[in-house]
Amino acid sequence: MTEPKMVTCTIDGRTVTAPEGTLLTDAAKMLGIQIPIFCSHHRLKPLGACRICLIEKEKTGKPVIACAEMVAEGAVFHTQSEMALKARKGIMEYLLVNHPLDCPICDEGGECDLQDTSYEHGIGSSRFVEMKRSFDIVDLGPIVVLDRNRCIVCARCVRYCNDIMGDSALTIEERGFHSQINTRDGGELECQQCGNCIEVCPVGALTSRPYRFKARPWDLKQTETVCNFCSNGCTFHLGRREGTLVRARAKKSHGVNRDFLCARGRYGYEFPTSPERLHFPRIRQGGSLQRAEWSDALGQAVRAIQAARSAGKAVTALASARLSNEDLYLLQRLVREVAASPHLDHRLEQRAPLPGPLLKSLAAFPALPVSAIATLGSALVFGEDVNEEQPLYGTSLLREVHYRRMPVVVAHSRRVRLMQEAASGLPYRPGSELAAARGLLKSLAAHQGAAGPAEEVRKMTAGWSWEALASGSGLTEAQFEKAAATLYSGGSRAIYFGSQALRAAEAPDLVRALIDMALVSGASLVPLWDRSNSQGALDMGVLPDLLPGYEAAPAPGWNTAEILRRSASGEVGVLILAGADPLAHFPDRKLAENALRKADFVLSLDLFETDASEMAHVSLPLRSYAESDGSVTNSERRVQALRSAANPVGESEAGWRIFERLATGLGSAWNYADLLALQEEIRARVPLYKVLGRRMGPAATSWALPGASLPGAQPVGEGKAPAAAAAGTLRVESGNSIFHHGMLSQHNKVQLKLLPGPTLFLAAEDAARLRLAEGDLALLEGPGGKVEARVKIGGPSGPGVGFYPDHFAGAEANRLFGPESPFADIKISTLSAAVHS
Amino acid sequence: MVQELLKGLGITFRRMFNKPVTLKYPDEKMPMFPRFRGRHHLQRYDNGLERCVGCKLCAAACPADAIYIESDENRPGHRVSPGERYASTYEINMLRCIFCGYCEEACPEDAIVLGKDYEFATYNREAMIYTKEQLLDGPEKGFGEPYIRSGAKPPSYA
Repeated sequence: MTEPKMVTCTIDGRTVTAPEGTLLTDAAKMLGIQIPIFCSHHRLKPLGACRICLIEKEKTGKPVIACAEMVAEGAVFHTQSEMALKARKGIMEYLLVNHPLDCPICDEGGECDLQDTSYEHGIGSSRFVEMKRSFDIVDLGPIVVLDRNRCIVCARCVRYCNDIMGDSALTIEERGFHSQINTRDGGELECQQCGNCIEVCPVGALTSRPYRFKARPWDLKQTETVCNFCSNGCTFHLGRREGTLVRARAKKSHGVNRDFLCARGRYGYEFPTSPERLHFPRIRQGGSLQRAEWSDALGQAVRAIQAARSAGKAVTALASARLSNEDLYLLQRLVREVAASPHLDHRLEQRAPLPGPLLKSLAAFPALPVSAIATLGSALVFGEDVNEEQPLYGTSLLREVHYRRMPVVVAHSRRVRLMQEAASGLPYRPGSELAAARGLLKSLAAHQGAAGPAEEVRKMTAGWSWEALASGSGLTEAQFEKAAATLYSGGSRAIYFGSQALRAAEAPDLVRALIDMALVSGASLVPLWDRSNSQGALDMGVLPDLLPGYEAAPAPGWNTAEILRRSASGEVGVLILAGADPLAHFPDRKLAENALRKADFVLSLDLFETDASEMAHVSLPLRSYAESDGSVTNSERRVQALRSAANPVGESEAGWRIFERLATGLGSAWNYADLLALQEEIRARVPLYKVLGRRMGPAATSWALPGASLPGAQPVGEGKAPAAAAAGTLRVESGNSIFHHGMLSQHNKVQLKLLPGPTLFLAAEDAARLRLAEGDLALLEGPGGKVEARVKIGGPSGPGVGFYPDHFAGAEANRLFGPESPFADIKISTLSAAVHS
Repeated sequence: MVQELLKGLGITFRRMFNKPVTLKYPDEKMPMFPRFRGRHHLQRYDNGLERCVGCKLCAAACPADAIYIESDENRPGHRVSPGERYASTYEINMLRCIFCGYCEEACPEDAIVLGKDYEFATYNREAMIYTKEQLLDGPEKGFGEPYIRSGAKPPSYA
């Protein structure tokens, strides 16, 4: 990339040098000069609608708008001159012509740009005596309330929705003085309900329904912490009033997400203060769990671990990848050092967990921050519905596709949102991820002439026949060629892959193919993990074959499937479930049930009553992320601080404290004065985590594996081609929906409004074929069993492939799908038709 | 010494014919100054709607953090105040209140005014948290413009 030309200009008598094309508002910010803005937004292209940013430019004789004016060599600007101030006062008076004086009852009041700017630049009175425009206040669905009276028609919401989210749910109606914001059809918003329109609204025209009148900004105790759902690691501020979390809000200048939050991040704050939380330790007495003292509950667990060890039975642990790094580190120390057992894992959903060496190869690739998407030449997104599962990556990619036609290749079994707008799509058949990856690898290797890994890969792929790859994946050679050409059309490249690739039955081979693709094309390789701290769980060595910091374990232990299999055959003495619920997440539910029943002792640590916690012998209440201090690591390997935003519920305890007490009960001399002492130990033992406890957070740099060089070309095995869908059935896949994440979000009322229960998404043509209509209650019969679900047309479904989000207790995907593959052919019959008015 | 004694007693005897400065409280009560700030009253409009819109500016202005408010939305069929918003909970902790009158100053709706009451004594601390029902003037106090701003004669709260 060529260095941008630098331009020097003068603002308020001070010179500033900025790259050519820098907007004047940004240049002024470099000097610490604030120019008021309403319609301008750092993610959006300049519009110049509100004109509050008027400043004087010498030699033009009239004010110019700073948000659309670019720095020019030698130009002289004045932000505080008489002309500028007079112009701004005039604009302020115009903006307030229709704006009501209802700041006391407006949710934006106290943190309103218009209020602040009016205070600074307004004249304090109005010369207009005419009637103001008057509209009714309307609800645009369960999230957004629109009060057009307050709107200053800056169109930020419309542009954000259209350009960044790709939803185009809002529009401006009428013209001139009569302009007003409305939804496309005047009804409710049909969108991802991300609520970013509320966030970008500089006034109180768009406000949040769940937060409506809950608090004034100054009531809130706001704590900056990290979202606990997906692995993007978005920073947000949790606002607490009187012990209840009432809102989550991103801050413009903070975090990897800046001001972006998705629906689940913005409205996922309820579960930590839910009344359903577990408050007390419980011990199984006479067949049911009874409230107990901490000392008794821990004593039982300690005795069970001792009994298992003396009986020569295994002590095993399954952890949730939402726990903090500190929790996970101490859990693996407890299992490895105190219980002297190598059997632990955190990957419950993956059918074929990646082996340690492969994980280490992935870690050897340098981390790529989300912000790098803005300068990427091209990207490949493989096996991940980024907009649904990793919304920050999804919207960042979508923005570049919209604004500069960034060449993006999307490979997915469903025609996902990004694929619809991408330059090239590889809609492979469900289950044929590997065939698709091999096809793309063959094309990529054929294009690149360089020696080294490309040569090896070319040799390997030369023998693969296009016919087999094409018939296996349902794609054509031309499609692969186009995808390869698209990826090569950009300068710097990145390859993203996610849950569909990781959950595939042939995940290790698939990841090897992706590594080869990255080596051949010189691209960065970014795994988008499932959970908020999946990366941390890998780094902390909550794996059967890797110690913290990617050191190979001397004696590899059992992975999740093996732990459960051994447990079902009676070989496991103690099974520790640290926030993990194998009944909900492990693909083979029957095996998980058997394993929990047959284990001598099951210790469950969880936030809520789950199927697994109710089968445990001792159940301990865990603190949620909102009540914990600690750290989590996101997909870009940024170690970020969790800060407690709420008071702990009941007698709940932090995970690492519980593990410490277990270890001391077992005779270890662990003694951590506080979290900092533990972080110091992690820093010393895991060199990757040098930043831990020191320079954590959005500003921290991603870690890099010391001394690692890129792995060599990986041999890629051949996959099985999936059979065609059986007649009369629909091939259905599962995963995370945009509105929920895992099983925690079912405790959030707002998210339940967005997706109330088990739902089957399917394409309109499939619905017509199966004679299903929107809102029907259908019985789904799959290899795993039967589940009832509502039918929804559209959503993240593709032609010929349905989507069944896995979020609801009692209707988990593993009750429907078989253990073999992450998709299944589902027989669908209507139980009751939707009532149409 | 006797002289001093007689001098002192002289004052005592002289005062025996003066009017007493004390009042036989609670049978007799002292007249309050016009701008005395006593216990708070929440006002209503002529039509009986509450003036308070639950904006919490009084709570923000309160230097003693004595006011706690929860707001809710007026719904069709359940209209409490004009506009969108009303206070579903309005509590003043009279133990914390320092009767500075800032709440009255801050109120954009003239909803809260400080009256003349000063008799707060109770047997428990809980009773010192005045709820909205206690603070809100009933019809017997008369609706209408708040007496302080309208210049009308203050209703007698004594």
